[in-house]
This record gives sequence, C-alpha cells and structure tokens, in this order.
Amino acid sequence: MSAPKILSVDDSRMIHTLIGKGFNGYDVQLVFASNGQEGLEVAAREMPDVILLDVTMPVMDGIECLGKLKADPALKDIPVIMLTAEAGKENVLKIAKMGVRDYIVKPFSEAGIIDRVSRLVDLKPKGGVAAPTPPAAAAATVAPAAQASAPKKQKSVTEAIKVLIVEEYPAIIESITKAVSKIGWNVVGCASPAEALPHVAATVPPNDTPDVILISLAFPNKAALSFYASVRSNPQLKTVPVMGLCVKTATFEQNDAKETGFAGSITKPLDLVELPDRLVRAMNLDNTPLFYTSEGDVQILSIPQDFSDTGSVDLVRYSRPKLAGFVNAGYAKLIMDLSGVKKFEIPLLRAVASILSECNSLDIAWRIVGSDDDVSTLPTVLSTNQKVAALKDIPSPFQGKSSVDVFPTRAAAIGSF
Amino acid sequence: MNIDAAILADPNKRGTLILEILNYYVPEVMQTMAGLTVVPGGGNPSAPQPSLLKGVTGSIGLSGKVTGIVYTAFQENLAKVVAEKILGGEASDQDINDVVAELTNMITGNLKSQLCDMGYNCALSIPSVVRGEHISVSAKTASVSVRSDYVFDGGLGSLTLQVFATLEK
Repeated sequence: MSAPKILSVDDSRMIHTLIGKGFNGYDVQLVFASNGQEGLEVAAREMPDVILLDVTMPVMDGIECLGKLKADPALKDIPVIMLTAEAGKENVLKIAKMGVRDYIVKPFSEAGIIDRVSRLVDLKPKGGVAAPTPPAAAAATVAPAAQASAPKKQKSVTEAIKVLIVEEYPAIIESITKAVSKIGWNVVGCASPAEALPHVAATVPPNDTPDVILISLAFPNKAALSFYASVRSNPQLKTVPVMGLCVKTATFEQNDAKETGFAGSITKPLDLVELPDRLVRAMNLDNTPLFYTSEGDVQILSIPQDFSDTGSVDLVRYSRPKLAGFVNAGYAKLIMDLSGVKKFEIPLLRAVASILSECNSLDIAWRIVGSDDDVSTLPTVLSTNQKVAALKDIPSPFQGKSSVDVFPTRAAAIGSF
Repeated sequence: MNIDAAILADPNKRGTLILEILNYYVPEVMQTMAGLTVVPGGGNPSAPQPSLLKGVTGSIGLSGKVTGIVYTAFQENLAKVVAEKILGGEASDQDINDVVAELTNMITGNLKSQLCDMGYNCALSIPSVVRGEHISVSAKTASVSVRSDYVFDGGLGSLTLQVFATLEK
C-alpha cells in the first residue's frame, strides 16, 4: 500500500513549512496549493487521502473550496480538515454542516496536526528519508529530519517499565519512585521540562526511551503542553502515554492537558496504591502477570494487600481472556490466595466474585487460600473466613455450593483437587 | 477564554474587552507557534490617534458588524528571530513577511471568533505586511482604538498591537 497523500491548501508558506516539518518523520506524500482554486486543481490531479484546508485565502477561500469539493462526485469523499484561526461557534457550525471531517484551530502544534491526520489515515514512521520540503518554502532551511524509527514496542507489565517524571518537587518524584519500584519499574526524575527534553529526543535509542511520562501541569507558560508537543514530534514516542500531575482544583490545567492529548491527570496528594494501576491502564497493559503464577498444573491468583479500585477492575477485565486461555491450554484448576488481603472492600469483593464466577462458567475448579491467623488486632481486618462469608452475599460464584472450604496453605489447596 | 458579552454593550468598555482578548491570545499564539514567552507590557484601551508603529507590521481588515483594522508591529530583529524559531532555520525577508502575516492572521482570527460569538459577526481580509521606521496609522471614524505592547522573554524585543474598530449591533 502506498504512503498516504496529504494535500495542504494554504496561502501561508509558514503553514506549509510547519506541515512539512511535522510529517518529516512519517511515510507520507505531501502536496501543496496556495489557494482554493489551486487546491481544487491539485486535488483532482493527485487524489489525496486527506486535505488540510485553510479558511482565509486569496482567489478562492476555504469555504468556497470546500463547497466545490463536496459538490464534485470524484472529490466529495476525500476527508477535509479545516485549519482555521476563526473558530467562532457560527464559523464552526457552518463548516461542520458542509461536511468537514475535523478542524484544527490556529495556533496549533505540529503534534496536533499529526494527531488529527492519524485519525483518518494510517501514518507510518519512515526510515531516515527527509520528507519533501514544500516548494514555496525552499528558501527556508528546514530543521534536520527527526531520526525516524518505528514506534516503541510495548513492554509487558512485569518488564522494567521506564517512567519519566518531570516534576519540580523531589518529594513527589521520590514517592512515585517508591510506589513503582515495588513492581520492578525504573524511574527517571527531572526537575524541569528542559532537563527532561534529552530523554525524549529522537536520538535516544529505542530501549532508553520512556514507556510512560508524568509531568507537572504547574510549570509556568504551559510548559507541560509544549513538552507534550516535543514528545509527539519523536515518532518513536507517538503512542507513549503522557499524564499530568496537579492538584485537584487545577481544573483548567487538566482540561488543557486533555485537549492537548494527555492520557489523563493524576491529582495530588497522590494515592500511591492507585498510581501504578493508573499508569498500567494508561499504557493499556494487561495487569494479570502481576497477580497470576503457576504451580504445576494449578494457576495461582494472589490478591495483594494493597489493591486499588482501578487495579481490581482491570484484573477482572484481563482475567476473562486469561482464564479462557488456561482452559484452552488444558488447565482447569485455580487457587485464589486471599491471605494477603487486609481490607476487603466492595470493589475487591466484586472482583473476586467475578473471577470465581468466570471460573464456574469455564468449569475451572477453584480453591481459596487463607486462614484465621492472618487477622490482626485492627478492627477493619477480616479473617479469610469472614471474607468468604462476605463473598457469599454475592450469590453467583457460590451457586450450588453448600459450603466453601478455606485452605490454610497453597499446598493444602493444591492437594485437595 | 470566557468573556462577559454584556460588557460589549457598553461602548466605554469595548476597548478594555478587546485589550483583554488580545492579552489572552497574543501570548498563546507566540508560545504555541514559536515556543516564546511573551507578557503584556502595557496597554491603552483608549489609545490616542494617530498611532506610531515601526518594524515589520502585519495588518488585517475586519468588515461586517465590526469594521476596522488590526496592526501587529514586530521590531525588525524580533520578527527575524520569531520567523527562524518557527521555520527552524534561516529566514529570508519574504519568509519573515509570511510569518508576520500568518501570526497576524492567527491573532486577528481569534479576536474575530470572540467578537462573532458575542453577536458581532465579521469577515477578515487577507493579511498584508509593510515595513518602516515611522508608520503612522489612524482611523478617525473608529469608536475603539486599542494599543498594546508585548515583551518577549530573553530581551528578544517587543511587539505592538494597534486595533481600530467600530462595533454595530
């Protein structure tokens, strides 16, 4: 399949140059026109996959050009993204009614354009060949091409995930480091976006680039948003999630970050139990390798002491295909080890019940491990028998079972199958 | 940005509102397009005429329920720095003119959007750019004359905006 063809119709050579720079690392064909009339001619000749169309232009403006494109049976299905500084409600409604696919408000970042275009065509990074320089901008020396390479390969949750934290306060970096190092992840902490830039440069070898980035939204002059653009300008980091760090009341900053393309925001004070699970979710990683192990032909699911709502929801989500995979592979025994659980709250209760129900529906025999010895003097701590009693309130996993035996050790549970 | 549309109904406050819009969008445009930090360096919502400008000066006309013109005057060295930051390399005079025209378009386009959302629909002209050390501009029939200076971080120079406008409901 040939590289997607993108037509930029704009009377500004600056815009053509920025588009040329933005797509420099991608395997695309760029064609340019400087007004609506020329745009129609080039569109008919080149049949582009996407058209980026300015509004205010001499000879024929973008609105008239869009109308003519939509009236031409041969061109009407080419998706058009309007590029305009005039984002008033009336203008946006007018162009939306004319069948425009999307619009980008000026001022814009190169990353923003790539993001919008990538929703319409499959953008693939290219290997080291410079994108064509727009003919009208030939006099300008375009910055050296980013060292293009394939997007970063996604790791498993149990591999050494690299977390880049850009945060002014060392105590925050230290807290996050402590939370994620428990699962074997590595942290690089930087006190400012400027200090972090070398870690996201196109020259960084793929193995050294971060897998997830956390940046404070409190840096002045929207520096976190500029940093985001720098991250996205590196084709290797096109899919690496970037998350904001801020206080709960910083709603404007959170909205700005969301509109820019951040994967979300983590608010301070940090919930250090939830935080790793939020990062796992942002990276779209299967979290089951953190909890499932095997002993012989038995699968062990160990529920940890600290388990967040996010983690429990994702565990249920990813357990379904995992349990089906066990059965497909010939395994049919599971031990649910609850001995480490100190607080048996509703989300975890539901998660355990859902997983056991899934086992029932797949005919996986299951046992619960724990003992009354794991009770401490704290009133909120339940014994495993109390946890099982709580589980019985949710009927599905226990249908048809008059009693549920709780085994004090895994060995005892395995021996009972 | 959130603007109280009722303010525009008061002719005495129109200049202040336009100044507020400019103070929001000029730093945003410069930060997003050139990565440069800009702060308002003083503005006058009832600026005297004629207004004296110098440097590389972009202008865009407004017509409709708002008639008027927006001027953006970059100090010459600043215009070159901004153009080279945006284009990523050496900028010729033609490149600089083109960048100033486009930045003027972005600032004026956002001003226009805010005015349109408040019921003052208007259209923009194609930007044009002039250069000079003594550019005197005036619009005697304009009911609003706003002048505002912006200072770039790092001593790169300053930018002056002059808006002449008449608003009709």
